[in-house]
Amino acid sequence: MRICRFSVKNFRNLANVELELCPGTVIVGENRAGKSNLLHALRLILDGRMSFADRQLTAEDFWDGLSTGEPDWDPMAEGHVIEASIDLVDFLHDAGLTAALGGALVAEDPPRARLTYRFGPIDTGTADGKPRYRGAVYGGTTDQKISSEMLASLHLVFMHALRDVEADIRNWRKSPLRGLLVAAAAAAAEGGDLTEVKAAMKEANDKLNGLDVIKQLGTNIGGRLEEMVGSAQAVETKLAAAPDEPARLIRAMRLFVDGEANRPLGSASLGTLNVIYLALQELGLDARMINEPDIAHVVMAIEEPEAHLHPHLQRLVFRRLLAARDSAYTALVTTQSPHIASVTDPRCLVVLHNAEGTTTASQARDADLTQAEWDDIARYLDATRAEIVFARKVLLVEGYAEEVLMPRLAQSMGIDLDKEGISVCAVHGTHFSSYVRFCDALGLPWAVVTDGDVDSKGNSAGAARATELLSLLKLGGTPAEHGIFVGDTTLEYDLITSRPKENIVPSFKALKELCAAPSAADVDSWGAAAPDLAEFKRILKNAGGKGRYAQRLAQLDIAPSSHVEGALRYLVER
Amino acid sequence: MSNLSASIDELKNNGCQWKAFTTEGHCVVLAPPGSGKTKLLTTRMAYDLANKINRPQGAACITLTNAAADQLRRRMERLGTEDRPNFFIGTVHSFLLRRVVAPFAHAVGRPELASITIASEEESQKLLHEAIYEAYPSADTWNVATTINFNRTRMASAEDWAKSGEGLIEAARHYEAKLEERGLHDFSGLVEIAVQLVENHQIVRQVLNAQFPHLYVDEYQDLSPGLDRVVKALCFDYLTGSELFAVGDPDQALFGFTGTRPELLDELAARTDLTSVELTRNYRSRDEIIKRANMMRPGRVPMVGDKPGGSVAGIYCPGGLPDQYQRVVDVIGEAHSGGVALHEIAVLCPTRDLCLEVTDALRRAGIPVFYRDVKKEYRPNSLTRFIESAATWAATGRETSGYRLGDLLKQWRHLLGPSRTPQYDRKLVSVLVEWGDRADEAATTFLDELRQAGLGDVLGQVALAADAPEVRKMEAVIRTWSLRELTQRALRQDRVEVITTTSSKGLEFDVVLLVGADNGRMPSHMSNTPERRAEDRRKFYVSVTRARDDLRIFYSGFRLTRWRRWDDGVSPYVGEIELL
Repeated sequence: MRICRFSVKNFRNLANVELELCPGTVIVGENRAGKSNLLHALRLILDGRMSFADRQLTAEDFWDGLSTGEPDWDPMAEGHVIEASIDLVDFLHDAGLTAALGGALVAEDPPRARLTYRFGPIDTGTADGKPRYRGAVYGGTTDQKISSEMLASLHLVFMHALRDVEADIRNWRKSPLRGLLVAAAAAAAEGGDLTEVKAAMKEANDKLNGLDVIKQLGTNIGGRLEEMVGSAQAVETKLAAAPDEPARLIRAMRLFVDGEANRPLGSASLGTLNVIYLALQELGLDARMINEPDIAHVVMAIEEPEAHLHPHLQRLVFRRLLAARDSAYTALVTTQSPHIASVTDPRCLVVLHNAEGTTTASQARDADLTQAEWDDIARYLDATRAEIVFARKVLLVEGYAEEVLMPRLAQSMGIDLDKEGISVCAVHGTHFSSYVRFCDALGLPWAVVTDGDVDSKGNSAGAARATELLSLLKLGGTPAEHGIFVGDTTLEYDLITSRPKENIVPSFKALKELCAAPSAADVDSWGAAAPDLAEFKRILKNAGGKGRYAQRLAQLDIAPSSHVEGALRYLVER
Repeated sequence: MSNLSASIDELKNNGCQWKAFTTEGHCVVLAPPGSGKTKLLTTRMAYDLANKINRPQGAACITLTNAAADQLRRRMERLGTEDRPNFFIGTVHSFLLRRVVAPFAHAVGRPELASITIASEEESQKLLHEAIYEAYPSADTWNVATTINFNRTRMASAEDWAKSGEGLIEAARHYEAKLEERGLHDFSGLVEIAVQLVENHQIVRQVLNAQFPHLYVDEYQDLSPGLDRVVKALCFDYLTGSELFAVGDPDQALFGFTGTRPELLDELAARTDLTSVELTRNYRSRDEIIKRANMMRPGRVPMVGDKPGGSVAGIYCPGGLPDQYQRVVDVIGEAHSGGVALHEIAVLCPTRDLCLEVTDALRRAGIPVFYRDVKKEYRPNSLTRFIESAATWAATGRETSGYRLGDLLKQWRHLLGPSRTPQYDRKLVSVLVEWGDRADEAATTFLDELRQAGLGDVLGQVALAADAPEVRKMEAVIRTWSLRELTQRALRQDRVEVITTTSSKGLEFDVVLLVGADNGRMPSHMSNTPERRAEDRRKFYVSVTRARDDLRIFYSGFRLTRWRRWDDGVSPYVGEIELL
């Protein structure tokens, strides 16, 4: 089974969001972008643990944009409706699921099911008074109600961002360990391997009770009880290290950490606990899917799971969780972690943006890219660069040197890139086209800064690149109008030639510091004028290359060249 | 979401329906054919449930057959009524069994009634015939069984029984003893127990009144007298009482021969402690047909149509039945070439024999025809319909087949009653999905697999005891069919339907051809009492009102039997509607 579509209308800041889902979808977005609301909307449809009362919303849950602005505005007096809906396909092979979804089919073959949570007025046949509202899950395109009993075979596991993992594991009722132990106890009892354990346990208890001090303690407790309430009413008590009954013993088992040290879970780090929790949860679900065939599909809705997890663990755990293990799992994860985004299939990335209280969702999968281009993006989005999807705006540059210099150049213009939410991303080459389409799909404003790279005949490769990019994007006008800014030569040289007054001194200073004596002497020989490009490049190479130079230069006061300034201004204004 | 409001708005356009809809207190609605009674009933019930009845109180709606109950349930759902505690829609028998007898058995000190077993139809008939044989070892007993069944259904008084004679009373006693020995009850026995519980125990009435403050009864004229007593005890108790909303049409009562009393509805409507409403607007037929139908309803408010035109004609066929059949063939040819779809044409006959002959004649003339011979064929009921629709969903495009899996599953759960589990749903779906590419395999294999999947347990349900034998008949009928053939049966498209006047009730067609309108057939020469003849007259009336546009009545003025020719003239009803 696959959940292929998810839409939410009029719910909190989600005015009208429609997504195509993957088996493992990762949703990113700034704080207050609507990530939690999106998961909550999914819970309204699927979470079997939500009661009737939990599904009844209030006037505050309606999208503010519906408001007329009147102070006593009431969305429920006007009959507004909150809806959250998913479409499911590919379930016919599973009779249990098909039966559960039978009341939710739309008239199509092969079948497609639609589950819609709707909080709206119910038709009582009278127009008197305020409409009566009801929140419930309906099936198909009709008003057929779907009971939570029916939906039980679609099992939603919701993991709250700030859950207390330790308490959850320790709390018998909530613990994912419980089901596993109960099953183990039952299986062990059936296997009949317990007689010896029982004898050994009894022997141990007897031996302990044979110790004089323990015997004395037992007598004392009994005596004191009798003294308090009389012999007729005193409870019979017995000291034991653990119950003799092996099945009870198994159920009473606890998880310890750190090997032989047998430390209680509480001593483990929060991160470790989270991993343990996920592992138990997974094991428990696997077992339930085998032992209780009434669970046919598991939907994991996980909210910001990165807390306390080391980046490596984030990547390991979620690479596994997000990979479609089989068609019986769907995962929906919200995150602020580039590490998790980096192990996601880039097609399954969804970015939420919030503007003036309304959220829009953009999906990477909408980008029209070839398989090779997607693979390239997937390789590119390692943890350091996955930041691109968390950005508000993206400045795409060629290499590491530009990446290092841009924040400094922006600063000299009075722009703080972090405050603007601008991420500088080096594509390590000049193949900007797949990245700009990826950004477009995610709704991220972008600008490109690229070198002119003029050849011996005076043709600018950069200008050609810009023209090609425009035609690929089917855009008219000049490159700069669409955020593509081409330098004259290379960035380092452009800095000197376009702003000699500000940049010659720091540039030459940086070169001299990095070069050995002979080259430093060459720099001195230039005086206060720019050398020719070839000479500059030679010295730059002697100084250890662009990257090293950029790092040094970035510590000095420098001013942007005109194309960099253009790009930054362009982005800030978007 | 606005189905209920829309439906209410439509009632507003019809003064009589609106009056019935807004009546406070008990209300009886006399609803002639095509007057929108089901819509009125369901809209009123949906409105009451949404506005007047607070949970956990509910309502009970009682109707005649499981198929009718299915239909009501579907319509209620379309009006947005959710399932809720104490909300019952079902047949008389399942109401009495599940809501009256079983729940109160312990409270009234008769725990043995908590799980009573209803004898299958075959079993009870077998016992009855044994009993009759013991009481009348050698006499002619051809009508004894019918009379015993009649008296038991009617809950006849000792006086009435006495009229039937000592032997018959003895046979009936034997029969009851046989049932008791085996720990069985038949439907009449069930009704009798229910009547006792309700009439003799105030606690039973009080609890039922609390659970079902509103009671809706459909097809009142055809309900057994026992139910009439239950309804009266529940609604007209001088202390408390449920509010009654009953609909029906005394002119369409066709089951008097089984012991029901059509006059019960008129008697009920005449009570002074309730509002009686006669619906008059007919939404089905054209004016000409309504004009003729009104001629058979002296004393009633005439029906008013909302579609002009229509045609009614008597066709004299001097050559007897063969002549009538030939004319039928001609008329069908004309109508079909005039653009009427074949499944919008029906031939109605007073008896099964005539149906068989007409069917044969049409076949010979090359006209596609469908006749469900209830002696050889199976009857459409909640079970056989379910099997047909399940087959159609499986073999012809699933959700695009016109049937919906959701509906099938709902019916399935209803059929399974208290024994339903998700396991059963899963089994049904497995069978249906798997048969997607097996349409050419034997239909009986499909039926076998349904049985494995849970239909076997369904057939054992007490509430379906009356419907279950049809499945056995069905199995015999479809023995040589592929699943595809079974689904074609369910589609009922592009063929003329032949039906008896009795089973035409509840149906409607553009063109109705009524065959055999001769004295001795309508009324039957066998109808030897005024009641029987009144029922034959109602069958004629029901037949007339099946037509939307065009009604033709065929007669010859004589009939032939194996021995002689009877020149008894044309059916008097033809004259009554002024076609002669």
